[in-house]
Amino acid sequence: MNRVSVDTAAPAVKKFLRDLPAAPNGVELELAGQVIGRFLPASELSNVETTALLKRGRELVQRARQRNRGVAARVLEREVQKAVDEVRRQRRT
Amino acid sequence: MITAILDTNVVVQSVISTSRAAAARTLDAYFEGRFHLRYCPAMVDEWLDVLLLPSMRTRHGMTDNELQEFVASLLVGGLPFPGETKMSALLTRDLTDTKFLSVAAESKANYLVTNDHRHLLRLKRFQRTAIVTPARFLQALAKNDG
Repeated sequence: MNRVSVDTAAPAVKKFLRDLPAAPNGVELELAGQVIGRFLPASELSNVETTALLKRGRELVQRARQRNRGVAARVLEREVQKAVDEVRRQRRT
Repeated sequence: MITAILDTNVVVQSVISTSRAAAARTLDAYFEGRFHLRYCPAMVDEWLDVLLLPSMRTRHGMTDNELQEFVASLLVGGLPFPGETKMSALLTRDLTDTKFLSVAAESKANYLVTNDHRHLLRLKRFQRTAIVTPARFLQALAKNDG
């Protein structure tokens, strides 16, 4: 399967693509009444790709956690709650 | 395989907390393949919106591309659902929480893992989905593993 990077695409394009695979079996893209392609969810990737993505995610998280060593758990919990509340407040308005 | 929906507060806390925190151990369990995620686009948008806030950026230190990689690592071990099933905001007392119940209804996930005591945890269960804290979820995983 060919791969096309959308790293440099406009934010609206990235959001469109991220919102597409909202169905376990994938989504067909239709243009002028013709199906022009099928968008599969990430869960349909090969084992090698899946393992690589999971490994990378874990590395990133371990690095992020290292930055906060010594910070009290309660402080981090408070900050996270404040951040979540801020985003949800914006969504309600 | 156990299936679970993770509230945004659990996802974000799991990234920036020390490895001993229950939220962090929950994410580690996901990376170890001990459960499958269920999610919807609105949840993914919210994870990113919170992780992109300056206060959270300072904590996790990831670039935009690294954040995308992190989110991709969450999507790869899960199944997407529309999250569009109509839910009354009266259920959760907060309109922004209804997406989690929509995915619970659509996916029939075993657990919704959250730290939201104000709205979600007080429900205890929604249809087939138990609503639990990360600590309680880890207990359920351990029981399932054993």
